[in-house]
Amino acid sequence: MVLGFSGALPNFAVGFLSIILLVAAAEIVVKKMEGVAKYYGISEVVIAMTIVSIGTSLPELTIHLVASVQILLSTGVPMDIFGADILQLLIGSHVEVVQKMLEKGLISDLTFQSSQEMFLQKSGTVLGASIGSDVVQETLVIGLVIISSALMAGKKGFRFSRKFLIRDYAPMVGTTLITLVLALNWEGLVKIILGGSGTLSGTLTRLDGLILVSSFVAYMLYLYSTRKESLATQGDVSKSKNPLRDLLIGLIAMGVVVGSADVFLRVVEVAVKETGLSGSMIGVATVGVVSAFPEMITAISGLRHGSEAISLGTLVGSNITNPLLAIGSGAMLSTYAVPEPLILWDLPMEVVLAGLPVLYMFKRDALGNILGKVANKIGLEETSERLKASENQVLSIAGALILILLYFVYLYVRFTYFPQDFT
Amino acid sequence: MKITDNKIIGFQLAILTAIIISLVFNKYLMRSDYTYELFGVALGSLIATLGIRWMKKKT
Repeated sequence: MVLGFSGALPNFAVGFLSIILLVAAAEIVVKKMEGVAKYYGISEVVIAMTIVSIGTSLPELTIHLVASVQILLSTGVPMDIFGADILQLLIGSHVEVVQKMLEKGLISDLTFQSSQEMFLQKSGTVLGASIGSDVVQETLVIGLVIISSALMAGKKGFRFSRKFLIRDYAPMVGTTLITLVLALNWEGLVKIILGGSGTLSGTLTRLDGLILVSSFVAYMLYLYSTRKESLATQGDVSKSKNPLRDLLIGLIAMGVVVGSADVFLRVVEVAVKETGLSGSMIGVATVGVVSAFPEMITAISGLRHGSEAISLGTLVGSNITNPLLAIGSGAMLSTYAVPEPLILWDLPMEVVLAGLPVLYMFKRDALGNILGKVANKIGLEETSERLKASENQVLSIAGALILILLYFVYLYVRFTYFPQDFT
Repeated sequence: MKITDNKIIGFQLAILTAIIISLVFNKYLMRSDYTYELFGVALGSLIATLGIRWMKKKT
């Protein structure tokens, strides 16, 4: 029962409303805080690097932090967790730490069981939500933005700048790869390679979280050192006229964000118990899709103002913030158990779905020449000419349509072959 | 703050030294159960550093 509601339909309605509220309130927080920061004369670059860059990922970030707090609170004695030995705290999982607490008699067997259950389910939900939202953006949303911008401009494709591909698109692939490397159970992999049996799903420990968050800081510093000027033009909110009122509204909206994240996670808990669906699948299908909305709205409004680069920048930027900051800070707080489908399907697919367009756009010219020759040999002269004329750094409408199609393939395989989080 | 090549190499070396120290620390304190986890951390941080280095070189 959540907020006094019971039954599948009312719970679904509460869950759905809580995500909408979460995303809408996050938008208000970012706008108000940006206005207040500008009023106090904080530099545009600093605002862009903090409030704006974190802004579009605020729903995911809050869901991670709230879930981590819920995991810690599930022991009943959250502060005692930090009394564990330092190595275990840094490199061990939540279960190992509470197991020690059980041995010391700090918690009961029942509390241990329920804390372990909550750890697995919450980890699955929030990781699924983050990765799900990234995949939606990298395929469906980018595909739609490219098609609409090409159609609006009457062109056949979208030309990416080389700098954009290196500074934004490639790091998006890199961050996913880092998350995969940290989340993988290397011991299990070695066992499987040597012919034994093992699981590939590992744990995102506090040390892993630290690596993710520090990579985010390093990336931000890199951005700061290479494009101070363009950062300063990001964010279109004007200076606040009444900073105290705006600060208050911002704080209330932040309360709504945290509250709705909490309600949403409780609804998922009930849904997992009642429907038998896995937490990560609910995350992928619900928060994943809805939390991609702000980026989509920003991207579309950017297009209307004729600034494709900015709108794609926000979109891609949030896919770097998501794994590094949201997953990283959640892991630093409570550690996460990584569900098997994420290791076997979601994260590898995300690397491929983000990596393929980059490789394709860098090698389009060479690929077009090879295919053009093949087409020439089989007598398709017109096609051959067109293929030979393909240029680097361009994603055509057909390419964007393939990206959109890949999203549906991803979803189909995810729902058909990966129904369980932990076996 | 400007990111220079030396700073990136310094960051890389710091991470590697930390990993080597923790691996040695790990082995002699009989906590070999964490060796694989530390390997993942080492690889992850190396990708992060090399990635930033690559971006810096290309832009």
